[in-house]
Amino acid sequence: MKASKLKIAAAIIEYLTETKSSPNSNSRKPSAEEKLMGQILRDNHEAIKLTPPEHILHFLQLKQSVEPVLFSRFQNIFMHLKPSLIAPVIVIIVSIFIVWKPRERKIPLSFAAIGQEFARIPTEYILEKSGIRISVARTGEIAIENKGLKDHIFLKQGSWQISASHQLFKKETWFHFPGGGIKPLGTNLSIDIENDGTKVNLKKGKIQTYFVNKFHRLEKSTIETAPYAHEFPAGVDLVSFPEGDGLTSQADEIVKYSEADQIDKLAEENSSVYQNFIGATISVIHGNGSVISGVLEYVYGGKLNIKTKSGLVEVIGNNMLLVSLDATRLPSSQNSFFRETK
Amino acid sequence: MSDVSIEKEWEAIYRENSSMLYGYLVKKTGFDQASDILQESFLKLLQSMKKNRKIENPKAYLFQTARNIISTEYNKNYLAVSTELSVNYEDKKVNVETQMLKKEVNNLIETAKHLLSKSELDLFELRWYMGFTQVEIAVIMEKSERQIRRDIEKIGVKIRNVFNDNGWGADDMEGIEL
Repeated sequence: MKASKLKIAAAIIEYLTETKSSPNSNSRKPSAEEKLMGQILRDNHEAIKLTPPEHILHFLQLKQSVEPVLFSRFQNIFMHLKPSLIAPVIVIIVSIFIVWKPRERKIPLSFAAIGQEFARIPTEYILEKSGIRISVARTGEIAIENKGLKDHIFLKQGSWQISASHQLFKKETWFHFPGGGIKPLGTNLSIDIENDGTKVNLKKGKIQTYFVNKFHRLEKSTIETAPYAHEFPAGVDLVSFPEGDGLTSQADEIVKYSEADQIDKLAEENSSVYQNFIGATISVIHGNGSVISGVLEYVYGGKLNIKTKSGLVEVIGNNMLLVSLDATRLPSSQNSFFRETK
Repeated sequence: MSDVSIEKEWEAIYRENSSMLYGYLVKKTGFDQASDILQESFLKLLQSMKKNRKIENPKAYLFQTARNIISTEYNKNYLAVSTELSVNYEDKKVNVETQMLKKEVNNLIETAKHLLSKSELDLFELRWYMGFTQVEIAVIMEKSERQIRRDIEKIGVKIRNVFNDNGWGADDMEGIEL
């Protein structure tokens, strides 16, 4: 079947300016130009598509199913009840809530998704972002605040388990709780918020701490290495991170002294590894769960430029979870280039 | 309609449209912001559905919402800047001639994109890559259909000129075997 360039150009212009979504699809056999046009449009649509991380749907389902549905169901029940029955029904519902234990399930939620308000997180939920993994042993309250290049996580209640490996390479993250706060520097620790104080138990790695005195002011900032355990006093907490209150500059100085060399070394090492694979087909798992596959075009300034089906995609090296030379073997420790970046 | 059936319908819309919207948002704003905007867009769609608002075209509604979020909460310029909404036509299923022809079309389109203004480029991407109709684009961009039609005609003229300048304006008698 022969196609004419003139007719192809005309078909493109006609498609652009017509009001329908796709070219004519009547019963006659399509011409070569129409077939080509159809292929181009299919290519366009397929190239744009990118599967979002699975946790987004989980989170949306969770969010839409908990509050509005429960509220509307209760509203419906009470609207149809006789006034004398309302009190017994309330008693029954409260009893059910006390006895009922939520099913154990783990759903990753992105920090940004939580928002800045305190949100109640039920048992065994996991939060993942920037290489940090947090789980709560029982119901806890958490709020996330993003300020420029830093994440601030406020823990109000609960017993928390935090793992933050290779934190050096991620966004700076501070955890604030009653009595003080910490910044993990490659750690495994637990935080138990009790009525009489907050117990911090560092099992592995390092943390940077701060304390809040009874006047709700910052007292000091130190770097602690494992094993370290401390009980922060109850009843004193900061509601927002005190930028310019002395901690930031002091903390930055300490971090610079202790981490700067390692950051440079790791950045250099990573960059040289990726340089060796320019031209190869690689697959990258992005920090947010997306998988990007394509040919590594070039590496510049810690960013990998990957030529995918949908064009050139720039991925910041620090945002990558895994890189593999072969998509079919991902994730496998057998692959020589398989590399855990976090 | 009950809440359960609304949620089922909403989930079907998510499964059908999320990958295209997410791909578009990643190209426009990057991975981190794309996830947030995607979530917010689908939550707004669900809220509207639960309020029994009639949404005739959920796909257009989602793109419109997402673009509104970008322009209000992020940087308006994200919408006007074409990052890498280009297509690599390497398809092993088609013959070499067809592949070459597709690449040539792609190159001409890329050339033509440089001649478009920011708002024209924005409109062109919605039509060429996403396949939205003029009516849908009018909804998404919150403009009149007449305005969209006029803008698309202008884009058509610019693209036609690029094709003509590159020898696609005259009939090639022999044609290309596909």
